[in-house]
Amino acid sequence: MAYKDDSLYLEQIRNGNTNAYAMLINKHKTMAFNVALRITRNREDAEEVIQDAFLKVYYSLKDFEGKSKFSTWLYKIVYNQAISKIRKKSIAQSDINEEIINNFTVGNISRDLNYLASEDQTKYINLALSKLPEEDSAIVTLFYLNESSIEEVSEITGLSESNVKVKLHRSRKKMYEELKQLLNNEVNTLL
Amino acid sequence: MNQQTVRDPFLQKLMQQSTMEEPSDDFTLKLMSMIQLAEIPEKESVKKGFAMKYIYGLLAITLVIAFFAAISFFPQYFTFINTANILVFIKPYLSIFNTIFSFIKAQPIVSIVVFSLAGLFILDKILSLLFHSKMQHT
Repeated sequence: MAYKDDSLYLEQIRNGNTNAYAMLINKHKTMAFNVALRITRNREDAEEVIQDAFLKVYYSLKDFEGKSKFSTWLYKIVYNQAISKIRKKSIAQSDINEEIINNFTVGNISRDLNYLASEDQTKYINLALSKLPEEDSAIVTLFYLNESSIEEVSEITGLSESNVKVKLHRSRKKMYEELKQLLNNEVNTLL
Repeated sequence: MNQQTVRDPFLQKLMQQSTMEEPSDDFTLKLMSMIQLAEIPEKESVKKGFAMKYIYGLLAITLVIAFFAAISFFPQYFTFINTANILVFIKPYLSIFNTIFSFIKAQPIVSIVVFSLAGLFILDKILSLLFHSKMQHT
């Protein structure tokens, strides 16, 4: 379904058409859900997070001045709600592997991945993403999947732009390392 | 480190090819129901306030009309009221009522029809307002 610009829906909501909010929900729910899911790692929690976020956004619409994009504002709320959720649940976050990954060979990995069927590629990319710390996984999703800019990711997460770049750089390396490992396992299984 | 160093077209393509997870099918419906439910009490209280005000207004008008009608039809029961003083104040209004009621008195069928119609109109208004408030509540 082709959606209109967010500002048009916001205008309709301000004019009393509550149903226009359903269009905004439909437009952004998938990305919001995936950002929440990367952090909570649980479908039910992710759905609860985005439900709360959409409600919070609806009741704060009068305060939205439009200085940033509506989606940036929404994802910021989703991100913060998801982070509070995992903090409340005291989930032990996976350790951030600070070691520099040696033998970083994107070329080989991309070549090996290209041999795989798209379902397997999806499986491996999701596995690699799940190995990242929750916040980093959400940052990678926003940057590479949603194509948010560094500035937008920084606004959403509340991290400085340089911090976002460092996290993206490390996450990318870590994902390739993970993919390399997974592909090696795949080859060993086949042999 | 600039934005370009973290850009990775391969990873981007790979991620965009991967299937995105979807929330439950009725997610939007559930959320919109929650929003609409939360908005009902506010709307209802406004409607209810308006309905009650309307009913009180109608009752007040009915009482005034009934009072004048009673004086006009049954003056023997209102001898205890010093009508002379009241008449000075309400003479202009009373003359209109007197004209109407004298006409009605002369034609008994007209009085029956007029009172029946007025009664039905008021009853209809009251019932529709009460029914509307009840529908909003459910």
